[in-house]
Amino acid sequence: MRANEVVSVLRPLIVHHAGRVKSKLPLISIVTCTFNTRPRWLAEAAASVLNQTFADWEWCLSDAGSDNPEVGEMLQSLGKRMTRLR
Amino acid sequence: MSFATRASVSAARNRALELARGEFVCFLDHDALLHPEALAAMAGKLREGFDVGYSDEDKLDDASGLLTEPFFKPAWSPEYFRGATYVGHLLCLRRELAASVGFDPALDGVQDFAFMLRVSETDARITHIPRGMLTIAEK
Repeated sequence: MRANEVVSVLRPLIVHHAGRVKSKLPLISIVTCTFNTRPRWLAEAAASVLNQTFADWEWCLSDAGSDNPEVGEMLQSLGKRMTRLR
Repeated sequence: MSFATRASVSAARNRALELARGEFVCFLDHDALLHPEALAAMAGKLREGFDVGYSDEDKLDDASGLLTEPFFKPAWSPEYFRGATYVGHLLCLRRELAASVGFDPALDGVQDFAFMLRVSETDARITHIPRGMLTIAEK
């Protein structure tokens, strides 16, 4: 999977989750640190978050200095689409 | 989102914790997958009054698509934990507790064990969820 495909693969899940969010603030913050994360695994991790039966979460991402500029680009483009991504 | 140049994993964790607004935080590695009911199970336990929850975990064999190496963990024992780092993932706990303990960049490499040892020295109520709630996808 290429970096620019991650958001399009996840789009249906992002839309579905956005429709299930009722609260202003989340009960649970999921904390993930990225470092040279491969696009496929970021997409798989994101899908597993978006597919939670429990919808009241936010996803907090922190990059630990990836050498690969694609990681930052993936996170930025995901952030534009996912309301509960910080 | 937070970015840094060549930050330690502990520093990155601490910055992510600063972003968090939830009553609870769960740590998900970037090469791991949550079971669909992971957060529901954690939220249920934490609402019962526990401050910390940890679950069983397994691994994904990417070539076959099979889940392997299930790790069925013991119930919480602070005495046992001093000698065996079995808590691992998925770990969920009160955000205020996580922030007050924090991650020490001097302990990168053993940051998870060090963090949980310090949590275990508080009066936090800790519980085990005996279900595989997290899969490590790539190691």
